[in-house]
Order: sequence, then C-alpha cells, then structure tokens
Amino acid sequence: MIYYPEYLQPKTLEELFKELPKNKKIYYLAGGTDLLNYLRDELVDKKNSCFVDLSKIKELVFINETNKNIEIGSMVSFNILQENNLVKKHFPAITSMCKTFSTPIISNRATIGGNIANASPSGDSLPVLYTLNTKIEIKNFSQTRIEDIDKIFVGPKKTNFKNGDLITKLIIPKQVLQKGFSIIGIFKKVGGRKSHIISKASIAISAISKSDYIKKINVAVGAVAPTVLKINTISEILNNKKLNKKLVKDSVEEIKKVISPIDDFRSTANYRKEVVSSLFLESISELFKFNFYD
Amino acid sequence: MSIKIQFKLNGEEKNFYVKPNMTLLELIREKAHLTGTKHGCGNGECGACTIIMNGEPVRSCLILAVEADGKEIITIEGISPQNLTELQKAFIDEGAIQCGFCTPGFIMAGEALFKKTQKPSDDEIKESLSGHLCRCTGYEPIFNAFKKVAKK
Ligand SMILES: Cc1cc2nc3c(=O)[nH]c(=O)nc-3n(C[C@H](O)[C@H](O)[C@H](O)COP(=O)(O)OP(=O)(O)OC[C@H]3O[C@@H](n4cnc5c(N)ncnc54)[C@H](O)[C@@H]3O)c2cc1C
Ligand code: FES
Ligand code: FES
Repeated sequence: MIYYPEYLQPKTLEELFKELPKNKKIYYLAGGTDLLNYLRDELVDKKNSCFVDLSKIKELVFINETNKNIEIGSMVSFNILQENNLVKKHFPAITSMCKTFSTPIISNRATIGGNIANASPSGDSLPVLYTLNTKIEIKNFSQTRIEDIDKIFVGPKKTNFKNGDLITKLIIPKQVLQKGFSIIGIFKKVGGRKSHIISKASIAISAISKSDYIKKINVAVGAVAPTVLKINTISEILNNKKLNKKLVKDSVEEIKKVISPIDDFRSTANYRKEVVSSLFLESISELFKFNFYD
Repeated sequence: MSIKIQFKLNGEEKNFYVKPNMTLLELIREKAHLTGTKHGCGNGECGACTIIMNGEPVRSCLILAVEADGKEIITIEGISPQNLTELQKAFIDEGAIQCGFCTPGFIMAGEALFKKTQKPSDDEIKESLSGHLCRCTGYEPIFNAFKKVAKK
C-alpha cells in the first residue's frame, strides 16, 4: 500500500482553520524550498498527513507600519523583503541579509515564515531577527499567541510548535532615535559557495549609533550552536560607549567564549571560532568605517 | 488519492490527475513527456530544471505539480517551437554548449531575463546565471552568448 498526503489550498485563514484536519500531521507549504527537499529525501510522513499550501492566502503577504512596530506577513518572500523601503529604513540588517540570501530564483519563492519554521541554526534570517528583538505571531485554530523569537527554538531544526501551529506574522519593534543617531545593521556569512550556500557561520549586528558612539548594540551568531545565539555580554561591553580597539577586542573574547560548535562534518570548533571572530571584525569595521583588525 | 489540475503548458490547456507529492518536474518529464527540462540535483541547486511559471523562472524540482493549477507554464520546448531564438543561436555561435545538460536551464533563465530587460547589464546577466551550474563550458562562453544578445 502506498500512502499519499492530503492536499489543501485554502484562500483565507478562516478557511484554513475550518478545513484543517485535526488528526493528521500538518505540513504547511510556503515557498517549498526546504519542504520539497525533505520530500525528496523521504523525510516527509506520507501516511496520515496533509500538505496545506499557503500560496493563495493573501492575508499573509504584507509589510505594515503600526505605532510601535513593523509587521511582516509570514508569506513575504526574500526578494520582496529586500526591496521594501520600510525595512530598509528601520532594519538595515534585514536588507543586508536578503542581499546574501541564495540566488534570485530561490529568493523569489523562499519565505521568511518558512525560514523561521524550518528552524535551521544556519537559517539566515534568524540571527538578524534576534538582534531586532522580533516577536512571532502563531495561530492554531481559534488560538493566537505571540512569542519572542529566541523562545521558539529548542534545538537544531526543532521548534516548540505543536501540530498545526502557523506563523502568521513577525512583529519587530521600531527604535526611537534621538537627534543625530541612526540605526545601522549588517549581516555576514561564510560557507562553500557565495550567496548560494547554507551558512557555516553567520553574524548579524543591529545598533543605534552616532559616528563612533554606540547607544545600543545587539549581536547574534548563527550556525555555530544548536540554535542561534544572541551574545548579550557584547551589548554590556559596548552599550553607551565610544567604540575603540580595546572594547572590540573584549567583544571578540566574548564570542570565543560562547561558541559551542555543532559537531557535524562541516567544520571544526576552532575553525568556527576564528571565522566568527573575523566576521565580527569585518562587520564592525564596515559599520563604523574603521579598521579594527590589528 | 489524485487531484485534478488544469494549466496552460506551452500555450495549450492541459489536464492531469496528480498525486499531492509529485513534483512539477516529474509531471513535466513523466506525464507530459517533455524531456527537455532536466533533472539534475533535484534540490534547487543546479538550475537544470528551470521553467517559466507565470513569467518568472522557477525551479520545477522545488514545486509540487498541484501548485501548477491555474498557472501558465513554459518549458524549453515551448520557447520557440519553429525557429531558434536569438539566445539559442548565440549559444551555438559562442560554443556555449558542450554536453548540453545544463543548456535548457540557462536558456529559460535567459529568455525570462530578456523578456524583462532587452539590454541587461553585465551584473544583471551574471545574476540571472547565478544558481545555474555547468560542468563543461566554464561559463565564459555562456556569458558571452548572453552578452551577444544584449548588444543587439
Ligand atoms: C538552492 C537553495 C539555496 C538556499 N539558500 C539559503 C540561504 O542562503 N540562506 C538560508 O537561510 N536558507 C537557504 N535555503 C533554504 C530555504 O530556502 C529557506 O530556509 C527558506 O526560507 C524556506 O522558506 P520556504 O518558504 O521555501 O519554506 P518551505 O520549504 O515551504 O517550508 C519550510 C518548513 O517550514 C514550514 N512552514 C513554512 N511556512 C510556515 C508557516 N507560515 N508557519 C508554520 N510553518 C511553516 C514548512 O511546513 C516546512 O517544514 C536555500 C535552499 C535552496 C534550495
Ligand atoms: S534539478 Fe532542480 S535545481 Fe537541480
Ligand atoms: S554543457 Fe555540460 S553541463 Fe553545461
């Protein structure tokens, strides 16, 4: 007996939760750039499961500004995100990340919601969203909950989601800027092939600054631990300081302390420490237009 | 359990009954018997399976057949059934084909690019080539073929 999943293509969220089977394993289908790989590798449960295609649900594709936040629908693709002016203005780290995301043909389809739900520690959007204190709205039938992004991941490719949990939107707080200050941000990664890779190590930085004075900074690293890590000790070192080489050096020491590399075949622990340290130096130098290398 | 889908394939309305887990690439090759679209990596990395769906180049190995319902799809066979296109001629002139396995993917990416901009910049050309792998030519002749069309 060969089994096949069921397939649904709802047009609204209301329709989705009306039709969603309660006793089947739910696979939401967004851009399919991860899910189809799992299907090929026989990692998808075909018996008693249901594919729910999200592509017709227009309510999930939007980028809006509210009083305090920018809200981004889960079905927004990386190329739409890259071009969006609200995002460029408020979250330069997101725009920076989109530029290195795969190739145009993949970013046309890959969605931000899929990147989060996939929960890979090398998902490029994750460290960036950590630096921006992003909250995620999740719906399941009549229930809605909002969680901090760093609370939903419990391990590599593992979220705390229950069957049927749907990411509907991201809520990212806007920063209040005093006169003369601006928001800056950057994302960098290394891996095998440029812009077509699953990162081996990545870093995201978001900060509020005025030339070399840092009001507030957040740093997060990806692909070097079972989940993305936000390095709060760096914020403690650099917040409300004029940046100098000593402080940068202290920050690098913090990076080396927190990294517990995933023991996979891709690379070794020390290599990752060196790589992330130099990604940090490169990023800080670029953001503050000063060479902090030596 | 099969699902009926209907879409325009190379200009003709077609109906198929498909299983929910069948990929669009499998449908094109095994049910529509259009074998110009190639199955390379099967995971979105090589570009050999590129087709045009509603005007956009996409990887057919990363799309379910059921998702094609209501769409307009063009494969390499439908690009220009009678004559060769300028880009296809340029590929021949520039020696951009060796084994030919990657060629349909590059042509589809190129046709989509030239539909959007008649005179793409070098960077735009390179961007549209990115994510297409060729094991034979070393890319230079392929880039030159694109350049040749962009100059016209
Ligand atoms: C060639 C190639 C290159 C890639 N390059 C990169 C890269 O540079 N950086 C990177 O980070 N990733 C990369 N990826 C991985 C992939 O493209 C991303 O993770 C992408 O964001 C996944 O989004 P999607 O919409 O395609 O998700 P899908 O494949 O549709 O879904 C992924 C998972 O999330 C679930 N899901 C999707 N949407 C939701 C939702 N709204 N709520 C709950 N669950 C949901 C699905 O059920 C599935 O388990 C690449 C993939 C390929 C094939
Ligand atoms: S077969 Fe689809 S990208 Fe390689
Ligand atoms: S010509 Fe052989 S792979 Fe490109």
